[in-house]
Amino acid sequence: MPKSEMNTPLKKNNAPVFLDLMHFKWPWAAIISILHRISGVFLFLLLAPLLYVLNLSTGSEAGFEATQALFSSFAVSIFLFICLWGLLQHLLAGIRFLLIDFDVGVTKETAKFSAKWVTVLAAALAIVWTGALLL
Amino acid sequence: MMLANSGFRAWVWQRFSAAYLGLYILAILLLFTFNPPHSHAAWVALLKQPFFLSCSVLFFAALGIHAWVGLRDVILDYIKAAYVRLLVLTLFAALLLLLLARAFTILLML
Repeated sequence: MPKSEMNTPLKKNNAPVFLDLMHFKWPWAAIISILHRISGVFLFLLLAPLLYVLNLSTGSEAGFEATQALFSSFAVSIFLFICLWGLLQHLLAGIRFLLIDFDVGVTKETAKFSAKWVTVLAAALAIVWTGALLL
Repeated sequence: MMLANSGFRAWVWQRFSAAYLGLYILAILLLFTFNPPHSHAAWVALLKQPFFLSCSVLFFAALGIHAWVGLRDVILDYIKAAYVRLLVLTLFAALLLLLLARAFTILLML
């Protein structure tokens, strides 16, 4: 969870480190946590393209039509799906974190349940919603 | 509760901006799904409506705050060397401010 605030000074640490990702246990809560972070960075990278599209579509008639043409291409539709998926993943996982902040779903079972179903829901909603947007 | 450097303020800013971003994005997605603007004129007219324009400006401000808290967390987690960390933080802060300024100029110069 992004509550990291480093108050300790930056000392050299000689403790052994184990970073073999293939041999970690990956509980659902861990998966959703790293997906939340990855989708967050991905959404940040989407800011510049978002502003480009906003500028293009509002700039002129031709720009607006160019934007429409852009979103009717297949490749962009796939990309739109990925963007929507990233957004929904981040949003739903974020809501899960907010609920945990207010002590909802903090037991091991409920946390695992919510983690699993947030991921599933995000993917499912992304598929449905991309379909709705494109039709 | 010690507030200085406790991360509490960042936590609050992140949560509040997240709530606003969530609401706005939900509204926007519903709008584009059920009533998308069909022409340039319609799109600009929609954006220029005072309420929608204000909400959009607020959206980008909240996005700047939210993205900054998130990015800062990621940078602090993965970059430990003090000067590299400072450099990267500065770069990303500048980048975010530029994006924010660009968003404002686009919206306010419609």
